[in-house]
Amino acid sequence: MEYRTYCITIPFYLLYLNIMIATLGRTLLSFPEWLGRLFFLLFDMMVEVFNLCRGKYQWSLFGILRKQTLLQVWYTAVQVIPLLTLVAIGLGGGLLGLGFGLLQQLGAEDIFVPLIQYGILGEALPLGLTLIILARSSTAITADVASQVVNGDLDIIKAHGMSIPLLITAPRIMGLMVSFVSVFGIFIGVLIGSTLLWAPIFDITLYQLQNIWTQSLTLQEFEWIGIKLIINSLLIGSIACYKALHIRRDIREVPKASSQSVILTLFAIFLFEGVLLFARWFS
Amino acid sequence: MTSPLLSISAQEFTLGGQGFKFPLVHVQHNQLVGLIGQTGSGKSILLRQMAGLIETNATVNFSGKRKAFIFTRGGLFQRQTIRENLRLATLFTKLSVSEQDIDSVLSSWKLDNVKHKYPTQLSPQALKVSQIARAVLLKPDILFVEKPVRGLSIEQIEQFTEWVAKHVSEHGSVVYSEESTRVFHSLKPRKIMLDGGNHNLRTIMHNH
Repeated sequence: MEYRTYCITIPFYLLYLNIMIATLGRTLLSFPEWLGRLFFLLFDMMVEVFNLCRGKYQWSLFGILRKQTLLQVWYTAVQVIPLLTLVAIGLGGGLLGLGFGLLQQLGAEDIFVPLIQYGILGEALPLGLTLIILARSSTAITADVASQVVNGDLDIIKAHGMSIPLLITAPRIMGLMVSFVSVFGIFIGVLIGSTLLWAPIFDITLYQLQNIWTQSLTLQEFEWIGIKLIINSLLIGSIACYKALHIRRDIREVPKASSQSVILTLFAIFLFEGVLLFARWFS
Repeated sequence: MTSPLLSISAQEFTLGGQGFKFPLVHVQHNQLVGLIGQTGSGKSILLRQMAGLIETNATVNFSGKRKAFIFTRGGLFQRQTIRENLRLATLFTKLSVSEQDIDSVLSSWKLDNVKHKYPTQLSPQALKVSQIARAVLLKPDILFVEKPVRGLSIEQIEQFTEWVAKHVSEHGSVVYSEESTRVFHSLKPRKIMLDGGNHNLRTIMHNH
């Protein structure tokens, strides 16, 4: 009886294992292909921006590009400011009250600065901001561009010799990049400002606060954060645009493309986080 | 013999479960070409392939600079007003088109009242005329038109026919797809008849 059970179940297990390995293999093999696709999307965008700068198209296009980019900044950065302000104020209170306060009681306040510098500013904050912007903008950009594809806007662009990178890709990716940098700046500003307000409540002197921030905010850290934010914005923008530009012209494809682009971007962001973390700490 | 303005090589392919077989097609400079055939004969597919809207295994050679397309449905960016739509199309060309030029074209096609409206606020007729106005403004080397007179009034058909005649004689070529042979009949177009028979592989035959 036992022998017969094994005879039936083992082939199923082997089949399942085979499917798992095949799926994993396909995912891994598709990774360089995806990198190539995103690279070409960004390359096309840069070529077209260069063409615009060297006068292939009329200069008035800059106005349209600027308007579209600012619109993207409005949707991505400006509308998220109230939420980020609340998070920054809460984080400021949490850091000083729970973090610094507890470490002071334990006599380990020395590790607070590296904790802020590497843990919060270097890693958690860029990732947190990326996830907030990803949740807000990745689906929005994919749905927006995909609806343009379904509406036939791409046909109009192609049929009249207009440029898809300039009208669709460039404003969104540039808008995201500007948004990331500005949102980070605003967040840091509010965070520092909020710690000024929280400090008296937790018996922290201004001198101690000044020491914490001047030691934490180094130029090297800002460079690191800048690289991360730019890579993340490029990933979010390019994956969203690519997924949307390559859907079938069917309205039912739009939500599918939106969710796929979020999953893919999440995967890419965590992968790059890991690669960057490895590059920074183990090189 | 001069080289053709546009040529598309012979091709055989299947789309949506239906087979199509098209021979080599040339469009010469300053020529009016009609793709004539019944529904499902492949005229819109061929027109869109010639315009580069449908990827195909055929080779499309276009020696001109500017092209324009008048679609049966849509054909304008929905997030921009009619005027902005016209303006945007000119920005990708080297044409020097002033704001007065745009207003003048809009006025000549009686679109003054709708120029600041969005395409979603307009009737299909006004949308079609707006697309014609864009083509007028662009002065394309080749203009592709899907069902050129559908939805237009008699006056508009006359105005459009006059413009097509002038455009073909002075600027460039026009390729249109239509079911009826009567459209632009007075302009004596070169008709390419598409066989709408019950063959599995539909073929098109030249009719000079």
